[in-house]
Amino acid sequence: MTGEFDITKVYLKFLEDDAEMTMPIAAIESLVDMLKVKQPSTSSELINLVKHNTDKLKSSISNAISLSAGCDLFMRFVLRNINLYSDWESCRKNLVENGELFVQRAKESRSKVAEFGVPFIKDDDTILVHSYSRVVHQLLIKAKKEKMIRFRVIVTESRPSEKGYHMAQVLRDSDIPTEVIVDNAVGYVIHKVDKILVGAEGVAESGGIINHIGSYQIGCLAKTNNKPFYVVTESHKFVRLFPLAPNDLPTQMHQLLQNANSMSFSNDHGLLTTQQIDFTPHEYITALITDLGVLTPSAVSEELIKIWYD
Amino acid sequence: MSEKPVEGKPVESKSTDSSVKPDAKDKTPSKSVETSEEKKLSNKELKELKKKEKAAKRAAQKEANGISPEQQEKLAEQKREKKQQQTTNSNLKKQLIQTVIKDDSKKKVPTLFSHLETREQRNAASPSISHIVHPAILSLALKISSYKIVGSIPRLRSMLEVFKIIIEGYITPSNTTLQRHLTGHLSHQIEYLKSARPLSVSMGNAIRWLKQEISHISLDLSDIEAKQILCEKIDDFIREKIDLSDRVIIETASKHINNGSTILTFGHSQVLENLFKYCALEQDKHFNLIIVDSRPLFEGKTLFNNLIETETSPNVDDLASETSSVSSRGPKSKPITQDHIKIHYVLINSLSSTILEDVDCVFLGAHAMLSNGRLYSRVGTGLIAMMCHARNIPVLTCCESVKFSDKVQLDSVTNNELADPEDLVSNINSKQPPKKKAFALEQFIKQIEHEKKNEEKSPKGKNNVNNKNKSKKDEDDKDKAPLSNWKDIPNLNILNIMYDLTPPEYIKKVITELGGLPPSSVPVILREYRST
Repeated sequence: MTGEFDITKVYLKFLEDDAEMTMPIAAIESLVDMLKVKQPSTSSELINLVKHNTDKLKSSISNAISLSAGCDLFMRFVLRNINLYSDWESCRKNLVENGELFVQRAKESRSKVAEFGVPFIKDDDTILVHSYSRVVHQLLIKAKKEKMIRFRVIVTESRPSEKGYHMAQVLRDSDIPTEVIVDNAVGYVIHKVDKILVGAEGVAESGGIINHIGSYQIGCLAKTNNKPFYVVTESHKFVRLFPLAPNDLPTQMHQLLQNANSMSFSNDHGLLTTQQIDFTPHEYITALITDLGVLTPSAVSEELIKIWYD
Repeated sequence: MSEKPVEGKPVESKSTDSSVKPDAKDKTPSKSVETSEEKKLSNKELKELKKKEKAAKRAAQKEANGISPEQQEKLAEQKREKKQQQTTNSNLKKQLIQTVIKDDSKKKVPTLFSHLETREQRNAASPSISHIVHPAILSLALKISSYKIVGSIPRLRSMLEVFKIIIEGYITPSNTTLQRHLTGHLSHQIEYLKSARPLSVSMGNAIRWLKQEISHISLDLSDIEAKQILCEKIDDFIREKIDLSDRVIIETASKHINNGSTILTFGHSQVLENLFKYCALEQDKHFNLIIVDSRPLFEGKTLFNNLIETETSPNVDDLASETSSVSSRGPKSKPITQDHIKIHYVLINSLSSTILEDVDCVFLGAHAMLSNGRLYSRVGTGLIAMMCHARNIPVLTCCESVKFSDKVQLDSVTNNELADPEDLVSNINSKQPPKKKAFALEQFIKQIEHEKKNEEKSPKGKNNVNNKNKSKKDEDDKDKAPLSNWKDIPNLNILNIMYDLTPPEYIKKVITELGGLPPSSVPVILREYRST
């Protein structure tokens, strides 16, 4: 680990090694690793180093929303702690230690979310799930295995990533009756669905979510059909972003999306353009199940203000 | 009641058990003390007797000092007069308000809004005679009342600047300290300032802050030091809460203005004006701007003017090319409206579907943000927000956190500001600034006119002739302005209201210096931010 330290490689390695690790945690962990390897001698050097590496990481990864949430949190954490210690060496040491503690806590948060979420699932429920989300997965498994709740799950196919198949597979492996529907069929099944659970890439300041494409239309359908629409997410995915419309995501991200979308389907005749994420405004969300408890969308900004202005 | 008489004391101690009320105390001793012949006298008479006795004693004393009884009477009279003159500001205010309220026929305001203070009432209630009002306040009040300074933030800024002048020129009277006296002194000034227009929420917040700062100044400091500290604090307040906040707000808000987008705005807001300038000058964005305006203040024209007057600084390349080609012209700067901002100017009543066709987002200014997420702003704002919400156009508002109020208001009727109804009636072409009237004088003239009319009427008794004269007069009036005599028309009320309330459902985002937030987070800011 001498010479050049490539933050992107470390980040990707973390994600590869542990399938259960989410992007923000991997980002923070790689930043902590970076601090261990590099030995910044002044505080401004440290800040510049962190800033430089987060920028590099953000620009090199295609889907940067939840990643940036983690980076921003760490940056904030560094800036706040840097003035607390008079002794530089202890400060650095403390940063690394606390960074590890933070990662530890973030990892635990998923089981905490599951704990808060289990009471929402009842016997004989039909639950609609969109795309694959580790938190939703863990919640459903917990409900099945520990609480012995019997319920059915409908998973959307979730094009273009088609992660829905993966979700269905892992759920079926744990004996939960699951079926996959095409994304267009959400309206068809919605009236027999009892509740909708989705994960989130990022939670915006308003309490709206940025998630796999298709979440917005499910949210709309849920609202008109008066079905509860729950978002299951960890609190470190809260981002300082406030899109006004489903397509109003930062421009830089659009370009990245286009690059990422270059993968094509066999029969699209070159006509198909695909998007990967959209934004669901807070009006469509019933509640957010997080490790801080079950929040209404408006409570998100309260938590964010607490994080940023304390 | 003083129980001075020496005889009273021992008796009182006897009757303490029976006496509960103070009245009873007075009665019991007197009864027991008096002898049989004095029993006829009632309590009142007894008191008077005692008073006389006392007065006689005093007179005797004074005479002993060398003052004759006549002189004494004169002195007493002088004292009484002095007391009458020494009416405090609040007393004066009360009296004046009462006089106005008696004159109910004059108050031509719709009954729903009759609880609001009219301009006349405000003017009448001001302690204008008071000599303690600082001249800087006088000029500021004049500027505010004539709408030379409009808008919550400009008013706040100029008020703080004036406060600085006042504090600099302030001399603490003897027998008191700056910490105790200055707040009162400022209160008088503020009282006068209120007569121009009611204080804005931001001004109220700033005043509260300033008074607290004054009370926090340590007593050990000399006046000069204390004054210096206060002035510095005011400067800091202006810089932190207005200038820097605006910059952060503008930076956040500018993300919503893209090249080629169409923005709609209403009236004039200082921070929005700066935002448009920033986008054009510093970010070099080209966009369309629709300015919606309304009577009677036409604040949109101010925005329009200010934008035209700001000019792009010529680029270095342009400079070089221009000097080479046409040296006579020299470096010329263009107004930003020439190629950066295309402006449409419309009045609020022409806000139709064609105008709203391709609006990308709406920026609204704010007077105050109430803690239930409602936006309190210039009248008409609610209408625009509603129309744009119905067309799915995102409505954004830029609001500094000094404008946040912990008040809750559900409608715009309970708390509002009445402007002069004359502004609506007066000729549109002659757009003169509303004048501040001497209310007492006006009332006096009216009274005399009324008396004259009565005198005319009683000897003649021929109403027909009068009516003919009147009709002729009316024809003359038509050239002036319609409704110029609206005050004489019974049951005609004219309402010129200043603010309205926009419900939070219509507002997508509130941009403050803390970032963009949904209107539901206003109480969070009040709670989290005010506490620090």
